[in-house]
Amino acid sequence: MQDKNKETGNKPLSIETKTVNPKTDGSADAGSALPSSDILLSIRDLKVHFPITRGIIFQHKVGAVRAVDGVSFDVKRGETLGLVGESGCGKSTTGRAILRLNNPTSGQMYFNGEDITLIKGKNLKQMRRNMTMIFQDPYASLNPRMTVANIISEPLIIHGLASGKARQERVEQLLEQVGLSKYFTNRYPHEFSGGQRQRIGIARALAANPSFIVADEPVSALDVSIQAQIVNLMEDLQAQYGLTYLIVAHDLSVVRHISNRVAVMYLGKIVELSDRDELYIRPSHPYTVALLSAVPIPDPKIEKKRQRIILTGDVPSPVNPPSGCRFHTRCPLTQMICKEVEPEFRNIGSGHFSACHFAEDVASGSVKVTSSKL
Amino acid sequence: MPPLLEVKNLKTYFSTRDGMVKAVDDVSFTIDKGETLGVVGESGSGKSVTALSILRLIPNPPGKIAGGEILFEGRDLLKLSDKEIRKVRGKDIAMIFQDPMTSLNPVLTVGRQLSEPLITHLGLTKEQARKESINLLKMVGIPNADERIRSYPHHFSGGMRQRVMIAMALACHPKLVIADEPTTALDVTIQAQILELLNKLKEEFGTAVMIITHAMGVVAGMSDRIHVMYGGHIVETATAEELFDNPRMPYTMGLLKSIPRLDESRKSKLQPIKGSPPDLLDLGTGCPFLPRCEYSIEVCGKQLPELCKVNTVNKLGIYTPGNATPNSKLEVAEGEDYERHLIACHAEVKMGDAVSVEAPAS
Repeated sequence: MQDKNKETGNKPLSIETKTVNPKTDGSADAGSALPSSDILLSIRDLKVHFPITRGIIFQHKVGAVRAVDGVSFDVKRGETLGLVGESGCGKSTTGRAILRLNNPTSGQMYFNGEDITLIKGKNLKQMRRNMTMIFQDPYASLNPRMTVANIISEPLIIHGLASGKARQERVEQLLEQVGLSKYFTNRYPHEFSGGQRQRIGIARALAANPSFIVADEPVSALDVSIQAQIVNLMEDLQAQYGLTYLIVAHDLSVVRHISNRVAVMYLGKIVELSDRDELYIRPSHPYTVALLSAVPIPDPKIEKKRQRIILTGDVPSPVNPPSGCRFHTRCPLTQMICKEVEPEFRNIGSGHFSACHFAEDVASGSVKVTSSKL
Repeated sequence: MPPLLEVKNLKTYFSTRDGMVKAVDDVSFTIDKGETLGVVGESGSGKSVTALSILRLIPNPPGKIAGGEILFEGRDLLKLSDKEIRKVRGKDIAMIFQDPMTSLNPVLTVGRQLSEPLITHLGLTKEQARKESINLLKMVGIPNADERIRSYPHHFSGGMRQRVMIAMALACHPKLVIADEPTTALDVTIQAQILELLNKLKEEFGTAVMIITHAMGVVAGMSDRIHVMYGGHIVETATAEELFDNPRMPYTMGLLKSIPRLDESRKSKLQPIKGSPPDLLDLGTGCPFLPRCEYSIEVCGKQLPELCKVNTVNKLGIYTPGNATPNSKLEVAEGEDYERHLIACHAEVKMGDAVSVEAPAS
């Protein structure tokens, strides 16, 4: 492990490259509380509830938006975990809670074995050197009144990592790392295209040499032909610096390409988690099946013949989630048990987790998921 | 049979402080009755401005339709008076916009908004329009339609609002519906619902549809024919199957290669197109795709390529630059699909071939 305390402001920050091989046997146990050494981040029963209040003078709580309502997962060192789901499923809130941009209502989070759930002050600041974020909107996530140099230097200044000429060199080095010219340092964000701004955001996220990056929809605001550039850049940087990524996204095709493992969220909970290819070939939750069937494939011959699974209705409100399995109101396979008993998020084999009473049947194909009827 | 819509040499320009932006620069195409045309492109391609030009929704100033004709059932829409074009909008040609929250009126009930075209164009009474609005909401799959006509747009989710937009667009059974990124703002499962609804309704009513999007997967499923636009021009056009099987314009090829596909397991890296979409203020004389093109030859920087039929490679694998016409020495591919496959490229290439392109001996 690098000892960051040794770095001073008198010499340029060295880029420490390390290659890490993520474990591929997928044997992380979602239930154990003490993470093993190859696990970088461990989340246990995380809940993030946003209170809804009434009253003007005396505010009282009348309910809560249960954005994240009990999620547990591990992120292994060096891997890319994709967190997918549709609007309102809680994936962005989860990513932000890990970085303490939203505070957890309950649950535990461990980073490198250390409990980061409630840390404050200096400890929190130190943690934020190791964990950074790439934001979705390249137009809103850069301060329009700061030059590129200022934007990228900010983490270096806040953490006291470099000053003067060393800092300037580090900024130029980072710009080149992300494929931008070092002559851009005095420009302002509005002078760049969306793809270039996203690169600046990535350079900023890398400045303090983090080990873990949460990328919240890193490419969805970009033109299609630029998305591939940014995806490739992120992969190159990961290989070079041994980074661990949590990618929050709704584009399942991008997630399939970039992730090692994928977790699917629905209405505040994880419904399925498995190795990437396993999820796409052998999904074990009806929601995952429906989600996959809804993604358009750029091939007219396939598209025109495809039998889509169309889910009826809309996602229920996270203020009042359905009883039992949250998906039962839209699930084509709903049985009595689904309305009454919330399914356990369990290991159905080789690190493939699913929260469905009929997970094994869905995965094996012995039960077919078809369109739900109104 | 004459086409339903015929756009000829359309030019739509915007005057800005920094110069003239040629958002649509000499675009021509047709749409037949009942046909679904997909128009794909990225930022600055001109696809949305083309759609808005057809319905004369370009704000003036700063925009203006600088030239061309838009013939709908033989009538030039550009020559109609304001009163006459209002009779076309919503009745013969309708539009579905991208963001249903900003395109529905937030202070009017959904029932009122649905009734508007019915009363204006079809002359229904308020009561008749109300009944028809309920039917329309049922048609697009909104439950409890008789109650929901009294709801406001903010009472609906994004997918539901888009359904309301579709209901409004189809209220008067238009002959052509222009859908501008109709599902971009929606979740993927809702997108699937909306696309299925659109497919069902266009079959039922025989409506022609012009669907504008940047999502290749969406056009693949919906279109009969596809135009690819870049920098204000149409750079390739073909049937959907032909375009995906056999893209010939380097931009289209690049686009298809750079998209990760759900049905493909991860291979090596994605193959992006280098560079960025063009700055419309700074296009220059040649092909707008030149700065990003791997196959360019000298003439590409000098002359804007015109749309013409594709040709196959001659036996030596050497292309003759310039317009490929049926009289050229290259073999002309046969069949109806090829007849309608046009590209605007001086240096024609075939996907997957590592072909060397020789500059003209001059």
